[in-house]
Amino acid sequence: MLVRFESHPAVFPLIDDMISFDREIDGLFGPTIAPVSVREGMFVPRMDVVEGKDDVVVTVELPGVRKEDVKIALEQDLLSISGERKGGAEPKDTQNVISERWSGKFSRSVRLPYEVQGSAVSAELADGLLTVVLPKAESAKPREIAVR
Amino acid sequence: MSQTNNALVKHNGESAPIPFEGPASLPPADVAEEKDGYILTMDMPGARREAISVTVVGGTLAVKAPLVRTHAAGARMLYREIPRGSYERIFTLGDGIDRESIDAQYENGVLTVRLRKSEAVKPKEITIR
Repeated sequence: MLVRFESHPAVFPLIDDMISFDREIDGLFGPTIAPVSVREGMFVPRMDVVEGKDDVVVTVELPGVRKEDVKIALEQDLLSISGERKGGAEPKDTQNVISERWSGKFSRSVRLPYEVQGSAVSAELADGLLTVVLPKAESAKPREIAVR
Repeated sequence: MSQTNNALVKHNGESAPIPFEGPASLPPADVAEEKDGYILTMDMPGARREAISVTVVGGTLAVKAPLVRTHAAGARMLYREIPRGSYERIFTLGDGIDRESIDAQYENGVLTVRLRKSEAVKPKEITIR
């Protein structure tokens, strides 16, 4: 029989605190990202948003999700990623001992801080991470102004 | 912060600090019992197959994987929820597990470990004469 070792639940609130503190600090130095409220009953996967010089990269954790089960939509500045994690065919005669992983539908949306070129967006799903690269629109790119 | 790290170091039984960007995170797991064994499934998105270690030492099964994320030079983090550092989780194995036939597979960010029950604990059908 498999027994969970030690989980130290007290550690998690600290990490959450650290992450939210990180976000507050990040917010002081530039554009902030507004997470959008989600529909009830859907899993909300974790997300990173990184700004490069020419693009905005959104990474979402989607372990065990197949490529064909992910939908990515961009409506003006609102990027929505949704879909479903379908469990494999459950073998018969199994009994769950530990059940912590999520399953079913997921949804995650974010309002982008920059205008992007909708037609040039690309996405890749590898090792359970979805990476969406959104090139900035020309108007959103930094411009160097020559001093005369 | 340092308290958090200490707790994790203690938890893993390691005394030397490992340089990483963040504390280790526990991947969520499912364990299903079958007639012949157990299937352990863990969500470990972003791990690389070649960097995942699954080790059986004595009565424990340890799963570890570093998480390395790289960004282009000059990139700036606008929003961050995905943990850095590493995945680490240790399970205690009961006596009824065959230590010699443990099989692990990593696909689409999910690690699947198959463990077999040792012959002694497998259910046996007794034929009535």
